[in-house]
Amino acid sequence: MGNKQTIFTARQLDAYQDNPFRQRIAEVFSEDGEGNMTLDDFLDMFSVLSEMAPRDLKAYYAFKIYDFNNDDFICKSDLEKTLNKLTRNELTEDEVGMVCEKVIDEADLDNDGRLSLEDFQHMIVRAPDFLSSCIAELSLGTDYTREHGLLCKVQGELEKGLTVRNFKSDFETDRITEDVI
Amino acid sequence: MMRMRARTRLPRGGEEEQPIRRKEAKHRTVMRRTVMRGKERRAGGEGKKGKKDEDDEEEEEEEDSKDKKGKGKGKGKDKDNDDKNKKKTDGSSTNSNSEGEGEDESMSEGEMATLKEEVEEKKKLIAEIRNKPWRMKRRLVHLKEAQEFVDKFEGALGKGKGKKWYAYKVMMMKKWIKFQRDFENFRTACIPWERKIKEVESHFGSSVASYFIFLRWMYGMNLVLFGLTFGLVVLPEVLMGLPYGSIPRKTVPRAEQHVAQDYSVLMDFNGYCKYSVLFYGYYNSQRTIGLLKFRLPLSYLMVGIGTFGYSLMVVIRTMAKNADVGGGDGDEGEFTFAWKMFTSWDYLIGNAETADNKYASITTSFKESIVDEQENQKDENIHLRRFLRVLANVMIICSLGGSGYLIYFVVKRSQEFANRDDLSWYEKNELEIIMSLLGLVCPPLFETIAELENYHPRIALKWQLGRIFALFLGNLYTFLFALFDEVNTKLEEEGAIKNASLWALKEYYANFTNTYNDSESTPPPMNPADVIRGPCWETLVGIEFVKLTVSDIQVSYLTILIGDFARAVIVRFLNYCWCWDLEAGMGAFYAPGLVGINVLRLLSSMYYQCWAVMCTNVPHERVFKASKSNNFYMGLLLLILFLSLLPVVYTIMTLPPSFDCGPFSGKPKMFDVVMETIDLDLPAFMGTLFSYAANPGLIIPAVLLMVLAIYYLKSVSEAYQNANNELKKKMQMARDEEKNRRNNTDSTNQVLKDLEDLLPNKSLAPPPEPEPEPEPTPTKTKPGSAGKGVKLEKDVALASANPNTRGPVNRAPGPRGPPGPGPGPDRGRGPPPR
Repeated sequence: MGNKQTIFTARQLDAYQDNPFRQRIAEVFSEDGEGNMTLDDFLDMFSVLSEMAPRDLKAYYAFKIYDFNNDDFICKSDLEKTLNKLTRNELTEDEVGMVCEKVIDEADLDNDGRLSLEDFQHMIVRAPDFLSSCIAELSLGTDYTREHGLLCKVQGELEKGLTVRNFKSDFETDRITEDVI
Repeated sequence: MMRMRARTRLPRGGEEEQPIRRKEAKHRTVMRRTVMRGKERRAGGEGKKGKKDEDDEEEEEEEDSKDKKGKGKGKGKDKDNDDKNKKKTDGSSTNSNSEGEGEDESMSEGEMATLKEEVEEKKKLIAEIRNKPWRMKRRLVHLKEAQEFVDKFEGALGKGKGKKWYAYKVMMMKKWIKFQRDFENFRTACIPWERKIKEVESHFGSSVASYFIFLRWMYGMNLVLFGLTFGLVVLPEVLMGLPYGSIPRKTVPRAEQHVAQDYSVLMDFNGYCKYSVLFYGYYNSQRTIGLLKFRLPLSYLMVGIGTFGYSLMVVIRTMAKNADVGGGDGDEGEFTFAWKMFTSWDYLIGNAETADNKYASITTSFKESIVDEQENQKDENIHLRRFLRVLANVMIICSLGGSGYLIYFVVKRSQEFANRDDLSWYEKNELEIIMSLLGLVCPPLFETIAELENYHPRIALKWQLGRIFALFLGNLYTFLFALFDEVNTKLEEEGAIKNASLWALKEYYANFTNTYNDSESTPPPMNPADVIRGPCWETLVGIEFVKLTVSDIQVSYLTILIGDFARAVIVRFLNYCWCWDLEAGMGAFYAPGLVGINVLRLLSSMYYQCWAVMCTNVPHERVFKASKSNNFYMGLLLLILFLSLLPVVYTIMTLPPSFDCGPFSGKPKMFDVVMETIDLDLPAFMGTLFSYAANPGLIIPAVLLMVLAIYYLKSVSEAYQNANNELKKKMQMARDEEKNRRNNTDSTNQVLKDLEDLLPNKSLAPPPEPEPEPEPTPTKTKPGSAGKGVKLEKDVALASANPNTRGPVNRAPGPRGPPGPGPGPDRGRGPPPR
């Protein structure tokens, strides 16, 4: 298969245009931090978002997604941005401020006024809905059978501008090694 | 470990290694100082310490392996560097230590042990590489290296005799892993309805989909039950038992034969339906049937019990699993806002309209929480609220009682109807219609009444479900009681018919001998159709349940089609879960075919409801998860199963089976078949064993022991919960203290710094003291070295009653010293009256 480096822009992830964090997801998983993903990054993203990914891994990436300014902490401005994206700016300034303060109150354990990775993980692994909500799936046609075929198809489809819907992506890294390299 | 690291040379390939190597270069340069004596370094490898007397071959081999091992070790270090969570294996360090000191033979052993550990580490890395938050490229590179290493040395480890066997073992292991993975893939592909559920998920979010997933789980469970019943009860009777028409119980009585094929009769499950494998009455009570000596009556009883046992076990196992994962209701008060913020978006939504709804619902939910938060301070009128709640409960109990009475009344009427023949369609099916209608009408009624109570939505939902459950249970039990009356009547009737049929048989023989005047030959048996039949009450009960189930299906399908879609669908989701299991559970013993009907129902319902949900196109804004990941729902299901088990067990234990139909005919009690089996089939000592076990003297202590065990476990679990709460409180307190401390130091930090700068002798300014200090500091205007001292002295001078100034006591005499014995006003201040 070689190292055909095709770059997929966020635009091609059509079905996720409604996701409030689509830009962040693309940025977090892309190589250049700008949102343009190679095939490897793309597969990486779906590997993390799949049902079989362990909870800690998801928590780690969720933290990175919500950290808008990439400073390894979720500070108040990050929270405000998150909330505004979630509610599409429907809440008033006061309400936003209040919610952000409550969040920091609840989750900040080392009391530095912002959430570190440990705080975030401590809070999120107890959430009952976390695993079930933080899942995304990749769908191709119905006729993938062989492992090699899967990857060819992914690459081929994406080059055509595939719209991503629902499917079960349970690829494993060592399998890819055998086929890709 | 350190020495091992020092030996690593890391001639790895690939440019990506550069950054990693650079990271470790520092370590290596440090370690190099401690590098051991020994052989000189080679081009590709490191020198080995210790003496080497062995052959060149072995030397080279070990050298090579050391080199690779070193590489591996470096990688291990790399791994350790990158993943803080991994613990380092210290075994290798001790091995390497002993290595240098040991002999040649032990060197190879230690060598091998180290190598083995290396390989194990690599394997662990391969297994866990998925869990690491690395970029794909990096992962692939590491994976490749680890795999190469493992491949190279797995074979080498099996030196000597065991080599071939070891290699073979490794190969089999690989094949086995591959097979497992393929099987897993196949299993995933086989999961039914996966695509449909994903579509629903993408349109309506994961809550609605969770209902369908639950439905699918129920379908799976029912399928297993169906397989059991069908395979162990129905099939043997069909294949090995007597065919239709051979014995009385399997034949339609002569009186009914002319209508047995009518559609209306079949719809009522009379006629040919009644005398088929669907119902209890068809089964023969012959102890063993066929070539295989299959014990049908025993299997019937065991399958009945096993069905319940299996359902209970599955539900309890799911509950335990949920409790383990931390599911259930969880601690709602903790992290409310944080969870709302980070987990409320459903990543499975792929539809613009649903996404809009989701945004709206998130906004609403946040606003609600904010309002809740603000209202927590408000003072509610508790008495009014309590009164309203009590009123609501009273009203609901009244309506439950009303519905129960209605059902009783209708059942009585249907018994009267049974004696008449000219019935309209409505009158024939009145019972089922009324029950289904009640199931439709009451839940919305409960919901409107529940508006009075003003609970949090989740709690309100639980109340609602509990009430619906009570409604269905009440209805079903009323139905059962009414049915019981009927059964008792039938039992009396049976007594009479038994005598009558014996009499008729005697008459038949008498006629026969009279007619043929031959008392030697045995008369041919009566035509099965002519034999007088008892009213097989078990079949009648089975028929009632099957009718109820079928009418339920019809009503539910109709309402989904006609009713108010969005609301109806959601309400039905929560309702019909419970209804199914109740009826199916109770009826399955008397109508083995009911399980099959249930399976069919679930199957068709899946498709039908999926279609209905997609067509409604109105995603409900606030949907609560009715999934199996919530222990509340599982708990309800468990309760229902248990309650539906009770009537069946009661009838098995107390009522005598009909004398002429069913697999237990002729026995005084149904479970006598078990006794019979123990007596006849099992070896003698087991019979005595069971008779000892059944002794009340043994059973009562056993029950007591179980009660004590339950009590003990309960108190242990309470103790754990208390300990948990204490720890939480402690953590909270620690956090608060930390917060306070930080706040205080923040506010006094500047001041303290200034003060400390100015003060030459810091020991004279104890930390607790500066706190009251900030107040007088603004008054201190003189800069200079004596600032603090002056202030302190001022304090001393002004307030001799101030006991806090311990410091100045020591300090003041100081300045007095150098000036000598000269008195002065300030010196007078020196020694404060202490």
